[in-house]
Amino acid sequence: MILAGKKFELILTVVCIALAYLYMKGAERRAPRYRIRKFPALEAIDEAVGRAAEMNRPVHYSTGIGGTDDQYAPMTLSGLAILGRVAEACGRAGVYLRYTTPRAYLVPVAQDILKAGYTKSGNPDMYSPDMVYYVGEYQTAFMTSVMGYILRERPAVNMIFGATLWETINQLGAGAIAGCIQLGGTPRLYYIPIMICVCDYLLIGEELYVAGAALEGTPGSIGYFRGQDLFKILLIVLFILAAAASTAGFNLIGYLSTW
Amino acid sequence: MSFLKRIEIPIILFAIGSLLPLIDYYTGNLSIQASELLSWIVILVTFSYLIGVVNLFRYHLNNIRRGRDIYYSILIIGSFLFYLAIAYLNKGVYDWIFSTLYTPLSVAISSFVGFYTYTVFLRGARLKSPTAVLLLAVTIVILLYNTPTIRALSPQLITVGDWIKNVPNTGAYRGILIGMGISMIVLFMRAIIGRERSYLGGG
Repeated sequence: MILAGKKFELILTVVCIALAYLYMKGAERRAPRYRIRKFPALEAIDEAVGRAAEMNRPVHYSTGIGGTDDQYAPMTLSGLAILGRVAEACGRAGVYLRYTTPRAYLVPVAQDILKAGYTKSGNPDMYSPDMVYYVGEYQTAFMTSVMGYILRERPAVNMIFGATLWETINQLGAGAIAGCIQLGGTPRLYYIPIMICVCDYLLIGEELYVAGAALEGTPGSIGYFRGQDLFKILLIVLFILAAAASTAGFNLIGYLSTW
Repeated sequence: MSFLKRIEIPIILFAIGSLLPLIDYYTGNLSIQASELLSWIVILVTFSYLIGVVNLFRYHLNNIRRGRDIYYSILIIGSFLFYLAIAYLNKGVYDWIFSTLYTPLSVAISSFVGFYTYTVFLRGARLKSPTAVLLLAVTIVILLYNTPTIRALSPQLITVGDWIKNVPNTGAYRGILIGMGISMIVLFMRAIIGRERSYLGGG
């Protein structure tokens, strides 16, 4: 039994998921035919960590105020996916990575990610559980802690990938004053302009969500991008149909959303 | 490998935790189970604070042992223990500290946003590329558009400001929003079928 007004939504979701899944399965055969464009913010990770190694200064990383128990969960997951890659780069370059979080349950998750990253890069002895720092659940505490750390320790690189609220303005502002290379990424629309102004490299909107797959770079993840492109084609077709129907005096979307 | 350490376990838990509310949303059939799951999340998150406290204490005790940022660490541990004790011993003092010390300090720190917004704007306003020039020009127009005196003096500015807000701004905003929605669905699906594992620590 499907609730009234949700049939169209459900069909669209199921079709989208099925298409993406089929593309992922078939992508291994077709992978050489597709190329993914490069994301400058992800490409810059090694360069930024290299600079931190030259300056003998740490790297600071944060996934923002969001957690995995709220509406920001996908953003936080994507941020954590990038954290693994940053930990690996730091392990290779012998750089201290500090991860700050306002969510207590992310502490063991991040510790595991950091440990795996440093181990994978052949530098497991460098990892310490203290690299992950919990600051308390309040936004102000998170903001002041990161600002204090940046202005005291002067990390060479400051990265914020995830859900950001107004505290990010202060954190990035402090990073700019400390002269950090700043890498950021958020799908939070109100904070994208702030990040554009103050970050050296940026992931805008959906780029953050696909970061995990982009870093993976396997044929399966290329299929993931193809599946996503297919969604967009499907939606564009739907927009054109809706616009044509609306011009002809028939409210297609209104009809479908009450179905 | 121990059964509980297998990577499939968190993936299955993730899939169950994600699909249950989704089924409830579309069918309304598993509302009791979905609401029970949400209660579990609240309980788990509350217990996770203990992990946070352990992390906080270990970090600062290590700092004290190594003689690094020793005064900050003593201050934070002292404040934590004092405030925890006072919460049980004297509720009046607890409230007084919160309203006369924490709240004003918090508001003062939050007000930095204004200062940092200007800093960020000035950094963005450095003309390094044609895009930066465009950004600066649009920012100035919108700034003037939001100034009552200028609005009164120049009605044309209202037309230009409205056009910027309603056409290029809304178009870009919606484009990003639709792309994000699609990516979110695909990310969700990728995590459910166990393709997105990087957040689990295994890379």
